Amino acid sequence: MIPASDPTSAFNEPKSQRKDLRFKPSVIDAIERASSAVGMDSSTFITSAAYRAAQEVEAAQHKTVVSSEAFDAFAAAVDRPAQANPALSALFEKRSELLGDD
Amino acid sequence: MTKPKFSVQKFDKASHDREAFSCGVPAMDRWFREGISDQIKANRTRVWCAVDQTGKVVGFYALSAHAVEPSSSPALATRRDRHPIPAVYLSALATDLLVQGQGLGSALIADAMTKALEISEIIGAAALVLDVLHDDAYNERMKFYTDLGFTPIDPDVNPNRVFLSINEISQSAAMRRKLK
Repeated sequence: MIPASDPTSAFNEPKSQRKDLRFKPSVIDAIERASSAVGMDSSTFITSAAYRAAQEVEAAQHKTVVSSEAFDAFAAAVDRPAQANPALSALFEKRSELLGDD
Repeated sequence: MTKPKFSVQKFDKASHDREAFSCGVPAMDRWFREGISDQIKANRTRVWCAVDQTGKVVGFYALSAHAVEPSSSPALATRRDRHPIPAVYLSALATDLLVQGQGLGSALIADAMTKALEISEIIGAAALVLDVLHDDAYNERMKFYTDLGFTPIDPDVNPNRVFLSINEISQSAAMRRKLK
């Protein structure tokens, strides 16, 4: 069995909310195959996968977590002195034309 | 001087009607109509609208605080301190189908950059970060951002999340002020 955990088990709450979902047959087939492979009922499998995705979406808005190598490259790039950038200058020009100057 | 065609205003539920807005990407329209209010209320984001001279909302963008962090624990860092680097995240930007092709999207990106620069002046931020939307126009969209100097933060893991340094933005904004 492939191990899998349910992150929503940490909530000490009754399952009081319902959500009706409709699935394409191929999608529910794949979900049911995978949920039985990890020994979960499909409802728990769907809930935990959706919850994990929700956490990822929220985190992605507020942070980007990268490898040490990518982080070092990013840190070096933001510290680098700027070069002349005609495309960026044209963008500010467009802003001035359409939105006016500050 | 003629009055600018559009103005940018901080989103206000009471004065900005979102019902008629359509940018051609249904998920984006839905997010603008239904997704922003809770996030604004919770102080997670701010949305800025472009309105035309009649007051109609014809575009918007959203900004939030962001950080770029290394995945390894700082305690394990040996070469240098790898602390999170503050950034500004441009989470969405769209223009209405009615005005597309006029350059309003470009103007709004420049406006978002100007705001990122102000934010950087106040609390410090080293980059503007955004996700290039992955749809049918992905290649053109990616080229547009690449031409402006945006590069992926971690190309191997997520080539769509790109950044431009505040240094670059600051330099181009300063040059424009000098030319005026």
